[in-house]
Amino acid sequence: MRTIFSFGLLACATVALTPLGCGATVRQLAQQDDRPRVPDATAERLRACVDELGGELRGGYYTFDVTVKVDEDGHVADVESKGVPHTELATCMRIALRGMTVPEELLRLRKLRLSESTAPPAERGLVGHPALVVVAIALADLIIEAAPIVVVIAASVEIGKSEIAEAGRKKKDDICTAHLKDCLMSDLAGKRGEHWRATLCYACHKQCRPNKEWPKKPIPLGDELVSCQY
Amino acid sequence: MTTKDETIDAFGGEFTTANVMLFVKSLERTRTFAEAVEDHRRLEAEFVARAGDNELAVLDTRQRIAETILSLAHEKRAPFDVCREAWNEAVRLGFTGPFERDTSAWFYADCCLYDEKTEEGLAVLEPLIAELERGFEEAKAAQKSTAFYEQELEKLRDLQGALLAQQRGEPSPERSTRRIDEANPPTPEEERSDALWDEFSEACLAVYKTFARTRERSFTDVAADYKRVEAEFTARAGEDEATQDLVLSVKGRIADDLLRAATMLEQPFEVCREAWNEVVRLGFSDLWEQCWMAERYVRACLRTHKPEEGLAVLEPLIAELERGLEAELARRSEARAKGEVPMQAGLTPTYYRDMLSSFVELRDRLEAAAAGKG
Repeated sequence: MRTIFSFGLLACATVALTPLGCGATVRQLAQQDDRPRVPDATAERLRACVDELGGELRGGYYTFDVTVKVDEDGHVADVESKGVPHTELATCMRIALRGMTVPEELLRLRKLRLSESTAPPAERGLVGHPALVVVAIALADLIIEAAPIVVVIAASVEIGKSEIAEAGRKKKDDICTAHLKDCLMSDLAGKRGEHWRATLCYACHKQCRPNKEWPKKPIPLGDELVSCQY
Repeated sequence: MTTKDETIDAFGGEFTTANVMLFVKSLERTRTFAEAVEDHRRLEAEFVARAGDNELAVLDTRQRIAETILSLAHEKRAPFDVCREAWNEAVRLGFTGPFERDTSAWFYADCCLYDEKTEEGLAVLEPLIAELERGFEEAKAAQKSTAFYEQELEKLRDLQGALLAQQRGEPSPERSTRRIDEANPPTPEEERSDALWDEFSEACLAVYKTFARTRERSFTDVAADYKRVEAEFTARAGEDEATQDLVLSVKGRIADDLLRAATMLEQPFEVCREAWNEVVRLGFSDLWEQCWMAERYVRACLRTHKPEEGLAVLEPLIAELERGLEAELARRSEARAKGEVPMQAGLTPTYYRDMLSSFVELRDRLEAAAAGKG
């Protein structure tokens, strides 16, 4: 987890000022080492959280220490946080971070750091189960000001193999068969399919088989459109 | 069949129920094609006898069974001559409608692809595609719905694309061949793993059946059942080196089923969110699964008046689907530019569009709910 940032250092560091919308404003610090930034879309969502809910905090500085856990494919798997004594605000900010599109540069950085590692594969946990290989990357601090409060978002991104990726692709039932069984447990089981002696579930299953996709939209059977949603 | 809600009549209903339940049983991995055919022939004999002088019912019964046997020959990867024979019988008896005809043709042509009988597969598909294209143009000209033709053309053209690619010596990313499968037969370890997974799946289905129809069981009891199944099968999977990789798959499946149970049994938001968080933690195999699970959770967010939570999940997914659709359309366009018929590689444009349509509608409802709250 990142340590708390002092106000003195904030004042001296290079600042990117990004006034967005009304109320709260956002600043991102660009340190000399050019840490990756929180994406603008996420920064805006975080700003909106503070704008909406920050008024319920007492004046002062708050640091939102957050770790965003990302799987190898760049999807946010989890967000852990501490530091803001307001449940709804913390929830709002976690939701915003959960929706973050992880910048490509972070995934590239991870690959770079893994290749720089001198530990053999076994020690790095690239074999065996259920080890995780994790690279932690600190992001540039995001400062959201909504006088009389200042919220500093000190985020790091941990990118690792998901447990499933580590163990290989998740085993699962044939999609169409699984849906057929579920469909037959639903009200659709008694509905007519493409023929007077055919069940709709069976028709949907036949439509599923070629593309391995249970039909989302109604399927045309004869002159009608019939839904496969159960 | 005059009832407006399209329910199946008594005699036809009995056959329909028996046919589909037998089909589901036949899909079990351990059920051989020969056993499945024997079962269906017994069913055929029973209902032909019961139909007596009703020639329509007799013919329909034989057609249905023939179509099912062809479907099973495809599913079970029966020898090519068996698949061909099943197709010939279906053609001889005739099809109950254009949907059945197209679906059966698809199964047979896919048998051809699997056994690299490329010309035979193309010979079946090409005239059908031409007929559907004519039907499409006629319907369009008459300002009638073209949905049926579009649906059928997409699935048949994708397979045609795969056959043409095979003709050019290019492998299909979505489909194997008998040659490849026979060169890589399942190991004893893989067989053990498959057997354990089948047992686990049945156990999950048994729990699902206890609440799916009535929705009257308590979530606490359902969750306890799922957790017991999880504990049993993670322990068993962990004991055998061949099945250790199943441990996480078991956890993933239980997490999926718990989320489904929580949403179907209309649990409070916190319960649904906890279930969703666990699904996310364990990861998704692919975008299809992610969308399937996310939709359940997002609908629960709408139901429990937590629109922001739903939007947080939905918006990145919509963006990903839009990117995926764009990439897929570009890939198909490139193939056409080279004079090729594109084949399926991953999710289809239909899937992307249908999913986007569903998610955009959901997003609109969530945004309206959020605005209403504010």
